[in-house]
Amino acid sequence: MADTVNFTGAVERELLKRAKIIAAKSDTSVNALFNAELRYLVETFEAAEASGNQNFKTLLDFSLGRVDDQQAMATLGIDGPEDLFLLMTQAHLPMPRLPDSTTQSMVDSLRSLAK
Amino acid sequence: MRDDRTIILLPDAGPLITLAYAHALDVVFKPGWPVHIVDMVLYELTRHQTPTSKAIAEWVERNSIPVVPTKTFKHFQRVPAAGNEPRRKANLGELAIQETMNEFALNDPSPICVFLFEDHKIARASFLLPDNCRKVSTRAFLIFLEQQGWLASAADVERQAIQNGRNFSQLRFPPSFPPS
Repeated sequence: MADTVNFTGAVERELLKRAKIIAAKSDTSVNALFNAELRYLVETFEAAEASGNQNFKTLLDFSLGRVDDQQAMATLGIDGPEDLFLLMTQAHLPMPRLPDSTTQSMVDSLRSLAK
Repeated sequence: MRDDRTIILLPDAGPLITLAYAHALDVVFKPGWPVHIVDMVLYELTRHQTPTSKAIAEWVERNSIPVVPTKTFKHFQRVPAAGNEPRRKANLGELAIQETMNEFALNDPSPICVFLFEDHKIARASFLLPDNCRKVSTRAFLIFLEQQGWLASAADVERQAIQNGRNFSQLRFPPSFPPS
């Protein structure tokens, strides 16, 4: 069995809640899910890098908000937002997210219109 | 004080793509606000055959969604492609949206316009937002619908879109670009 170490990180409360539900449904632990996803990310990144293909890195940079959609599409040589969306889903990377506080203020703005 | 102005919802391309993958385009009608689509945005969504292009085109037609004409799109149609080079499209969707925001702001009375974007477009695009316009993300819109009791689960819609995107296997990772 591989050596394991403990480390400290932070995760969104709601995301952890959802992960716990998936873990329970899958008869496994959040720790096992985390390891599997992290392994997928690391191995996909390393395999792409080893073959000289920067596409995964570009998608990861987009997911983390380090490059915008137009830069990402230009680097990937794709032409539209749908292709970018599909590549992100296939790469198992989340689309970039605004902070929860920003999303909440937009929700509040919509609620004020619905009154 | 209650604002009795008309509220119009204008989705960008990204939100319609996400909702189309989730088979949930009709959620945009839940608040009961008229939905319009900018011509350049519709063009971007339907110019190529994609997994969602037909569904979106049919949805626009079936629901008689008004298409907002813009000078940007008119200009784009007039400028011919140069040789084998495709016509410039980058940012034209955003230019057309900005133009629409400006036009609606000049109407008297001006309607309240809710523009729907994906998170990354809100983070990037620097629209000059008139007082009557709001920029809202797809996620915020779905959460709003859930809180109003018009949608069972916002997370389910997002999850469904991702799941259906993953199941679509036609698109492959492009080769390294630019070619070495």
